[in-house]
Amino acid sequence: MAELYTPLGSTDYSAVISRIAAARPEAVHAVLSGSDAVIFLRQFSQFGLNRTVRLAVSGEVTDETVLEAIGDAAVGARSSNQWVYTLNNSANREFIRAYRQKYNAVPNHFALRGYDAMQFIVDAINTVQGDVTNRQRLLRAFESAKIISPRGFVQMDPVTNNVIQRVYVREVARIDGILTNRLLADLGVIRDPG
Amino acid sequence: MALLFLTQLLNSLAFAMLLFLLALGLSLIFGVARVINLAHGAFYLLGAYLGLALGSSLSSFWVALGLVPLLVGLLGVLVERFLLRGLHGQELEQVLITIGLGFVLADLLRAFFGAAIRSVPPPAELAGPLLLGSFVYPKYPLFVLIMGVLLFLLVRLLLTKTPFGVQVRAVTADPGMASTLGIQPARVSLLTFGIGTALAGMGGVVGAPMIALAPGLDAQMTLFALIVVVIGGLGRIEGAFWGAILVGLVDGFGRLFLPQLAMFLIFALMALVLALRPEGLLGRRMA
Repeated sequence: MAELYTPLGSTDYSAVISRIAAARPEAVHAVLSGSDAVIFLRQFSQFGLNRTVRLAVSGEVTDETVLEAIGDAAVGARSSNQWVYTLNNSANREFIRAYRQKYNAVPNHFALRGYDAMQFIVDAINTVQGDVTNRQRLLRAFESAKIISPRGFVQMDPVTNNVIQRVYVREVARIDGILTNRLLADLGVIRDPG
Repeated sequence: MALLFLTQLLNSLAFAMLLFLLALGLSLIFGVARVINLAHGAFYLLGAYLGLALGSSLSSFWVALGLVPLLVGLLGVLVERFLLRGLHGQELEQVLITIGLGFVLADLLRAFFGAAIRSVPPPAELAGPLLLGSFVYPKYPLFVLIMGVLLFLLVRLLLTKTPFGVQVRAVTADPGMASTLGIQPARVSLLTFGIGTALAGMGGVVGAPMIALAPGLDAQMTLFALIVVVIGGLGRIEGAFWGAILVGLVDGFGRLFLPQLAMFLIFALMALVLALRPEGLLGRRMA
């Protein structure tokens, strides 16, 4: 096992990928986002490593915002995340439908976080009946807020103010012509250690 | 370990060929026009973004590879004719105008293409890996490597065997003497500037599938090209070639084994060369 660190906003991963190619690991866990994820995965597949090394990455690496730029080289990459495109619940179906109608694009987990954060805010403000001047009451309303999230289950942890949510294992796949993630397994409700 | 060495050797040499394209243009321009073109990296970036735009709109990497150097070279000719021609022999003004031009080009590119890092896929024929027994290596850097070596041989042949090459070498050696022999330094200088910037633009198209496009890459590439010509020696194509290989190897293996020190190693190499051979490893002393 080895750990490698790369600068944010790298334009070339060949040195890191040479090491991975030489070490021939069973799997690579990468934590990258945005252009870093695109460039890393593209070079990874140029080396043919996507056929021999299992990718088990953070959710940002296979986020829908970067998948189209990476292309089919990303198919099969596994990641863990709090949301999956193929989650079979009515809130998720409605979220995807509304997002596509408004932005003409596939939603991603960043959009989901924004959507849920806004739901929390709306729920808390409704609980205090619009009176946001009493801050203590508003904070308690946030702690006990209940929302119906496309991610299945999410709650505020009153101890750490982090989230308690389901975590899923997902895999990049082409579904109805679009590159997205499909559900592989549900790891259950997990309390963020904070 | 041997495989890692071989892989990184090829990575380094492919990057070196990219540096060679840049340093060759910079060196030719300096030799003939006596101008240090500090906008050279901006011409590289312009070539890269034009390659990105043309490559995706015409959906052919090869058409872009043919067209973009022509466009960038044309811009280079215009720059020489209308910005630099009047400043012959005024080094400080030339430095200022090429730095300024670099800023303007880079900022126009940022305004047009945005500040996001963009990556370009290699053409389909060169995508994916090549399998040589147990050794796996991507096709594209190999293509860049072979192209760089062929270009080196081609340009060396042009400089030694063609009338234009002889004129370029004559003006590089002594412009005063060359003009008494009926060579027009102004015309040679104009063409050389066009060729030099076209090479930078070509470097951009070829380099984009290896090194992603980002604002600031222009300054980085100018710096690399300057280091290469300082180490290899200005005004000679062999200097640009071997200098590029040396810098490519130090950069590649530095990033593999001492990532935090990679850039420092390159500057240390440059300082060492300057201390021992101020004219560069293969340079000649300039009058």
